[in-house]
Amino acid sequence: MLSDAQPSTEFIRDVIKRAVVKMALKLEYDHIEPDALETLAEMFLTTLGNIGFQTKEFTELGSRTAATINDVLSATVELEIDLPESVKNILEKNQDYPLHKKDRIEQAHIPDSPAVKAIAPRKEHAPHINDFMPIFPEPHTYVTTAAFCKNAHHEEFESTKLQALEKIRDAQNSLSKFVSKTARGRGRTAIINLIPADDSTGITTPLSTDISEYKAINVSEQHEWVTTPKIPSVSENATLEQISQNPFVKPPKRARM
Amino acid sequence: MPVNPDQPIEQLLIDVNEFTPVLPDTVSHLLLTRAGLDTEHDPRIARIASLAAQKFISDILLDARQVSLNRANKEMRNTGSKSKDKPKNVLTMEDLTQATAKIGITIQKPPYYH
Repeated sequence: MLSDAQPSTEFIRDVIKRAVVKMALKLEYDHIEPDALETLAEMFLTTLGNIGFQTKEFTELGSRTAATINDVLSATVELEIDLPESVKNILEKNQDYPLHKKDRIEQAHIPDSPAVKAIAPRKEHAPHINDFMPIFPEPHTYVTTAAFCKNAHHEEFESTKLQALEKIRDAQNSLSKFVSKTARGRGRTAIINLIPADDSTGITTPLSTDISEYKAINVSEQHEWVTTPKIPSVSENATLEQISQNPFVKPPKRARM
Repeated sequence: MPVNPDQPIEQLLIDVNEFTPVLPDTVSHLLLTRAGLDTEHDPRIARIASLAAQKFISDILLDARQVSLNRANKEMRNTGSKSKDKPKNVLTMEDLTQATAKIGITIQKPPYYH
């Protein structure tokens, strides 16, 4: 039996060590290291102190000075100590003695985002704006105009060009009609031969081809194609008479013997 | 007031009266008083608190025992020796460190001490 005076801590430690040894013997331990024994004794002491402290907290939470069984059970739950089954049943099933739960800091209530007032349905971007492009401003922030505008500069150019081309074509058509009308022996439907069929402009056909044997159709005897053109020989050098007649041309100097 | 054994709380109180913890009630009462808890009006509170602490330490001892058994079996398999002498069960700091690590308690010896 202990005296009224407070026993020393060393005495309490010895008692706790004996309790730990008893528990170890129950588990068939033969020896225990001194360090391990000291560690377990310290843990026992600390655990019991924590249980007492937590029980006191729960008692004060219930505005009481005298602790109850429920306070102790709540403290063990708080310290996550597994109690025997008989005590666990109380924690799970007993509803007459509700456990005091320590006040915890409630998570800040995140206010709901205010409902955005919808004035009009959101416009979507144009189909040519892809997702990989930089972020474009919202469609409602800018005015959209049509890509093909009648007053656009490129349309005036095109129309002007088209007008010029039409004028050229008209001129060519009228010229060709004029030529066809003024040509001799040729009607409107006649084929216009732009190359005059003179002797100087003989048209030769390829040699050793059958086409040379054929006779041209719709061509008179005078303008029949021939294989051997009669091209007059034209000398490149000027004659003495031409030189003497031309005052600007001096006769070539002959070498002195 | 008659005791109804069907009620869990009453069953608990019956069990507490029957079960005697390893730590004497006086020491439990003293330690709880030092922590700021008054248990004079109801001694069962000290018993329940002592029971909870005893349960906690017993679980650690059980885990350490399991660790030592696993290590012994491993050594038996590696060496293959079959000694007739029964091996001594010694609670070492290594086993205790591994057992407490499971519940989140780190035990480390300081590298140097006076």
